[in-house]
Amino acid sequence: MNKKNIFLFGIVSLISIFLVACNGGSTEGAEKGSDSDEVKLGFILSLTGNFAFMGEGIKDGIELYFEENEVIDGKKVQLIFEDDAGDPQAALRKYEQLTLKQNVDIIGGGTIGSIAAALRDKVDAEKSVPMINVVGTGNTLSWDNRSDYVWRTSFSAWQYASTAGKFAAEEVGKSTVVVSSDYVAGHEIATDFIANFEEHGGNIEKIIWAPVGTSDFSSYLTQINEIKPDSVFMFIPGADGPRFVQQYNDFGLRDKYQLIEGSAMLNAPSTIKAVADAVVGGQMITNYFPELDNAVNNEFVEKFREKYGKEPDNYAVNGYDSAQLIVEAIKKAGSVEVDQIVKVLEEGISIDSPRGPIEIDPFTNNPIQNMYVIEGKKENDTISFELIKTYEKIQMPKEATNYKEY
Amino acid sequence: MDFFIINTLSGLTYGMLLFLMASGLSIVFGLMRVINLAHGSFYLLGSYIAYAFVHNGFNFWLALILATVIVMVLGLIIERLLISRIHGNETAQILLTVGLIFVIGDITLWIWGGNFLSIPVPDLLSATIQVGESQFPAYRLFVILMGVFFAALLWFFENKTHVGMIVRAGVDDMEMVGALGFNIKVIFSAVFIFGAGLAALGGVLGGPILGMYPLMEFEILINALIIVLIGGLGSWKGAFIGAVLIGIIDAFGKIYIPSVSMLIIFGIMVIVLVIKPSGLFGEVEA
Repeated sequence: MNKKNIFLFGIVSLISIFLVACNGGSTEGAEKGSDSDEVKLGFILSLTGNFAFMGEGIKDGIELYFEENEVIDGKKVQLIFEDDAGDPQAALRKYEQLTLKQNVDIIGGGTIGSIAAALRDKVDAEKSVPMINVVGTGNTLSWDNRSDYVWRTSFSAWQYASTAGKFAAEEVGKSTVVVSSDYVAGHEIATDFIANFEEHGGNIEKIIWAPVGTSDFSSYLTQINEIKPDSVFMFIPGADGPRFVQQYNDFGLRDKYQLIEGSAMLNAPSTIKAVADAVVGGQMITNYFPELDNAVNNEFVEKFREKYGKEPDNYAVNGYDSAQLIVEAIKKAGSVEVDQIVKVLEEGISIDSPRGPIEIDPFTNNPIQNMYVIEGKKENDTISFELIKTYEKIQMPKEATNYKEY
Repeated sequence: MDFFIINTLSGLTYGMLLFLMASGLSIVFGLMRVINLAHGSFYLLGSYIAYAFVHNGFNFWLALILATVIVMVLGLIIERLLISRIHGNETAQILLTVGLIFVIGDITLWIWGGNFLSIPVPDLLSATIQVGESQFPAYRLFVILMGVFFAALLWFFENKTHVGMIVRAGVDDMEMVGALGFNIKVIFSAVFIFGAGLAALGGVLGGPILGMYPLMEFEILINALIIVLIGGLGSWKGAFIGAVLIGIIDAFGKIYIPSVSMLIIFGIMVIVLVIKPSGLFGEVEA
């Protein structure tokens, strides 16, 4: 074999091994058979891989809630966590495992959109267990692909992006550059943002699609510097996001153009830990932030800090609320039968969330909730986020809006 | 104009990081005929270890030196314990070094977790330099200078020193060098840990720019392999030219042809390999 071929063979083998490795995972707490004195809840989360920080937050939230609610209507709760490592195929395998071998009563999952979509199709086809979508923010899960068996406790892309578009146009300025990760969710967010930004009199100067895994954003930053917009709207989840924020700061753009962040990563503890001062002055749209002042949240933050020694993030609250919704639904239905649970959910359930009261909208299977705009501040060497505007009770339209898609 | 300057500088910054990584890979291959796919893991380890030091209150420069030295020691252990056993067996080398990628990757994941981390820019270089109406971070300029410095060092080492002469001879015919009474094993080890050190240095320098996160070793490795293929195996000069080329193309490709910028890099690789199969500066026959 000649040397170059070996080299290329190396690359190929590497990539294939890497792909295979991505499908790996672990099984926790396997125990066969269903017990009528137990409620079995199976969660398929991304606990390793690129989205581990999301999966971990969700798991923290779920465990916190069930620590205080170990028993529902006299039945002991058994939690089973499975790792999908950010891979939809792995999530489907875990789904089989949980429904066939473990006989779980309710499924929770969907750390990222593609996994939520994959699980949704399976759940909708089999109709054997209801699913709580813990994050997966795709609009289509509320519109064209809405399933009676799949309920979301987090938020939809539309809720974030339409609020961000309105805020940017009304409160910041009429010209903006959109920087978005070049994948499904990025296009969805950009579509909703742009439509609402233009609706409120704004003008999109440029849309930059950054490939997922972009390590150096400097070319894009120099383009922004040429345009000199009022604001820059970014939607870059994952590890690329903090890197963008850091480079935005390094290249001196932070003080010139208002950064508006749309994937709720700017105030994440991991972001602040990684980029520190670069988040100061940045604004972010979110459905939750730990500094939010209400009785439920104050108590939640205190409990969370006590158990984990850190601040809760959006994902922790999404996990906590998913757990809360499951418990409320089971209590109201008085059973864990799938049809009973679905019936109860279709009547509409309200829960007291740390993010403020939320109501699960039976038309879109998505919560009606407040949206907050917050801004990074630095005082005495600590970075915190301050509320600058609240948009109350944002409800998704019942059908897909006829926007031009980007 | 400043648009052009800043993008060139950005491209050079990225290119220099890739150069530090790719030159070690290339030299090790040239001399030892070892395809060390785990070279990217040295980059990863360098940045994570430096992060650990900085996070525990060490200053950046000390962390830079300590991380590089630690990775060199690890490189020595890996070379002596594992790689030296399978000289000449190319399939085993690939399997072993790919295995090492996953072992090292999982160890870093275990210790530092899956979140994006970043090393703060040292205070000394935290300023920005005004270029026309735009700004360019001083730290990036420093990275470019470091890249150029190491290229010069490699040139000096190769052409002006006794050891460099032995290494050059070794690239052509290792057995002959051995027959002349030089200790091949020591030369191998020395070159290997030197390469590991360069990769680690690249990792530390890249920490404040690219940060670190699981699987970043793959991104870096793929780019480094392309650079080595373009520049030619066994040649640090080729790695230098290849790295600068990739850096610049990456920077401008993102602006003018964003959807196919990665494709161009592969396109160039294909063209170079068709026209000159041994790469631009290839010293090893394919």
